[in-house]
Amino acid sequence: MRPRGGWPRPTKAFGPIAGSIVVLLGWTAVAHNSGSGWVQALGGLLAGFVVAGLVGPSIACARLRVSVESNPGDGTVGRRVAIGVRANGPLRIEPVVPPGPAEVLGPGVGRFAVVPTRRGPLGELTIVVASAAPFGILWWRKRVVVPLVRPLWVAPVAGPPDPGLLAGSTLGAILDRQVPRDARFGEPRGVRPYEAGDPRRLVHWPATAHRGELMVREAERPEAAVPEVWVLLPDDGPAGDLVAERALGTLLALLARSAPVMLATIERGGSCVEPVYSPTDAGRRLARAVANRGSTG
Amino acid sequence: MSLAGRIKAANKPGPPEHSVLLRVAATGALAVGIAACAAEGELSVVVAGGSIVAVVLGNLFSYRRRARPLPGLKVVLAVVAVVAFWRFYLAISAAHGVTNLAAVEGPLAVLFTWIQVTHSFDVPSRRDLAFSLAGSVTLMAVAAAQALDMTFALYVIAWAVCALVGMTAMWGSISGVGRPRLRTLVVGALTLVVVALACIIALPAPSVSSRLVFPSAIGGDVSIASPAGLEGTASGATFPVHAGSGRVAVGGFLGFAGPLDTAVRGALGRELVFRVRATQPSFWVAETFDNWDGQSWTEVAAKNHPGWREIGGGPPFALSSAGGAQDIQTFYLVQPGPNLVFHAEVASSVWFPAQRLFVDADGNIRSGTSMGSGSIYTVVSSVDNATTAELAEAPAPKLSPIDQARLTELPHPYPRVAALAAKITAHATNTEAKVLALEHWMSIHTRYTTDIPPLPKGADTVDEFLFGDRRGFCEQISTSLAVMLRTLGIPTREATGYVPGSYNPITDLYSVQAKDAHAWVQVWFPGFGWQSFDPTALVATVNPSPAATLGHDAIRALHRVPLVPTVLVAAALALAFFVARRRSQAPATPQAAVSAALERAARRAGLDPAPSESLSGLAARIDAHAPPPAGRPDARAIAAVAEESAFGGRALAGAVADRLVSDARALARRMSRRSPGRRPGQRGSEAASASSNEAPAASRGR
Repeated sequence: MRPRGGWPRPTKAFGPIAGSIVVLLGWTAVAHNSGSGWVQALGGLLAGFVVAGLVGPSIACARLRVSVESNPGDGTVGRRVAIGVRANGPLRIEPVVPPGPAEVLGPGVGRFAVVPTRRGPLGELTIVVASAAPFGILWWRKRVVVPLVRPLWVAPVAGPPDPGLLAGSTLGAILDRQVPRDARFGEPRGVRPYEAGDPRRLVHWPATAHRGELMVREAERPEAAVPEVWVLLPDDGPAGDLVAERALGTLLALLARSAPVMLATIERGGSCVEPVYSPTDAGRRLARAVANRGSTG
Repeated sequence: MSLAGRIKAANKPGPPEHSVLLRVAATGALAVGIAACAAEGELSVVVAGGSIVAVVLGNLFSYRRRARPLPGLKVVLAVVAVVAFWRFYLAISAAHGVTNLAAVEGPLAVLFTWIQVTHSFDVPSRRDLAFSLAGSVTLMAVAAAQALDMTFALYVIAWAVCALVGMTAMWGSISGVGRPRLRTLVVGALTLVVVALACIIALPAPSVSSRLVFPSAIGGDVSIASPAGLEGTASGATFPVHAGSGRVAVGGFLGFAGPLDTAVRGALGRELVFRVRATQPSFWVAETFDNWDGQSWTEVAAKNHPGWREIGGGPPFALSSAGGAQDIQTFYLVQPGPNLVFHAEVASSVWFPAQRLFVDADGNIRSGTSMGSGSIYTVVSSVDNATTAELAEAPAPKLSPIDQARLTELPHPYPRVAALAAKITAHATNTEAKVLALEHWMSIHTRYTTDIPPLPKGADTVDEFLFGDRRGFCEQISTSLAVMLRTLGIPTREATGYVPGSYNPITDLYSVQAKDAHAWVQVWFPGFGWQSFDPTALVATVNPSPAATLGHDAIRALHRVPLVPTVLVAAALALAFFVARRRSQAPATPQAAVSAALERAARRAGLDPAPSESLSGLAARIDAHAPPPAGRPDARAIAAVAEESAFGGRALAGAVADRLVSDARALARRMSRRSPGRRPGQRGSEAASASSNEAPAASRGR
């Protein structure tokens, strides 16, 4: 995907333009009536500075090219995410979607931050790039949509635990019970060949070295049933985000005492019922979750 | 926010500005502005020099204290600024009010300079430096208002360079780019030049509409020996045109002498005589002549003419109350000239720094003192350029009998001239048509040339011209028209002076050269007064040679090229080209510089670097050929460090790299002193070519 940009527009242009016009008109009047051509010639140079200062940034702004060089894959709503960009000239970047603080960057590689406000995947950023080259008199800006080098999954912030999300039991009961941790922390009961989808932390390296193929520990099933959290978002808007926040709060509370936790969500490809082992897993899953629109899977 | 809070917020100092380039450029712009004011006489050399030194020291101080401003400094500077304003007020008061702007300009320039000097001690932030740049504009404006010639271009270019560098450095500071790139500066300079030229072309030309200032100055104060007498230079010399000829000229032109001798044309050069600032071009009238004797014009027929009268009382001298549009001309004399006061058409008042002037009934004006170079005077003239239609409807000339006789008087009847004039104007029904018919006839049947021998004594100029070979110069052509008109009973007189000259849109001045001296005809039209006709303008030159014409035009075109800006721009371009070339040819890395230096040393030692030879191998041969003196690093050591840093992944610290390159170059210089010379038959360019082509690829560095 290539960056998409709009036409450059001046920013807060009234003051500089009106001031320049007044100065030039005044200068012209003085030069015209003083009878001195050198004053007029000097005014011409002054006009050159003003024109270059007022119009030049539009050309510089139109020539600006920005591309994302690097970005993390995970983010959280409300927390800064650093984005690495490459620009072909000095510029000021102001993230719009998602928003972020404005930064002035030189040519080459630089970094700026965005603060996601919504849960979900981000494939591109909408930013405003501005330039005041060559004199810094007036800023011209244009809105640019730049694709990220990889999707940024924005997890919700953790909200209060919601017992209603637990399937088959109450949250209180789960939280009150000391559930033994899974086999990762004890002796494995056995090993088996790796299968696609196995968590990498289950890889058993001694057995892998012995067998010559990737082996994973076969987890000892916990005494109790794995807690299951069902997340059905009402929509992809704020209400859905609110539910996701509560779900994350619930998952974090559960993961603090027991792992894994079975999480059921609906993603764009259909329903997904898989265990999550860490807060990061939970955040990613909830970032991918979408509202139920009747899809099946 | 309260008003006090807003004021406090507005005056809150910005973050300290660390850009040295911006500070240097702002200081340079101020220094150029102050120097320009001094060059135009607005500041004394002592004040200007002291101010420049103070500005430099002030900016140095501001830079050192940019992050830690001295407490109480603003108060001290404010007190100094108040003192500067007070001195300005005193100077204005001493200048008897503000009606004379010329008296204000000097104190104003001093005030601006003081403010900038004061301000330069407190410029910690970018905003303060921007104010310094803007302040330099006011100083340049004050100087520009006084500039008369193209030498001011030097200051304008210097200021523009400083301002351009400063503005781009300001953007570099804002964006964090640092020093501006050469390309940015070149593009910015081109933009400035294009826009400035467009402005000069598009904007209306300046005009002398200000009635508050009538410049006048006297360039020599030697009284003329006889009242209303005519003298040519500050020394009072009236000199002969040719030794023994009996003909005299004033100011190098016979038209400015007492009698206008039409038998010979003086050789006039291209030297600048004076500059004129005027709202519109005109013939600059020096004298008019009414008495024709067959070969010379003179001014006064004593019996019919009231003669010269003296006007005293000092400026302004009120001369006449002629109607018509008023035009103001200010004459800036470059060469000492005759004591004639030039004007356009009819002078109504003169601003001349003397106690007396002499005026005759025909409006000719002479000063009572000599006119040295640097003399300035201003004339308010009545300019009534009637249209052809208006002149066609003008009634037949009616003057008093005395004036009618004086202005149509001829030394003899001129029967052939009268017949010719009557024949040419047979179908003309009014005065204007007669004049135009005669001009048209002369444009067809006469030719202009200055390459004719002087007429013999006693020969009538008009007869010789009209019935001879019909070749002559402006005095003869215009005289012929005047005499033909007089034979028709039309009041006519001969006028001499200068054509407007070349207009310089930058200085807004007409530059009048000696060769612009001219003679033309004035014809009386009731209701419109004297109207000028220039028959010479319509007359073709004799046998124009295409080659000579083209060459003449080419030389004229070259003369129009402003020398100083052209040379400066060419020099700037050459410098930019030289710097860019040097940069493109400079070694990219210290290792490459070491390699180039060692190759140079080898060639100077007579050792040819082989294409496949490593740098260390070449260095070993150099050491074997010329062992280094004690205490100096040998070539192998230098090569080893360079190779290790280039290929061993060990970056060199800046000081180490500089030392390495310095040692390698010292080695090359040592070889130059030791070497008995290049190999026979090898030229320098070949050697250089071999150097670049045979450089070991591995030694180019990274």
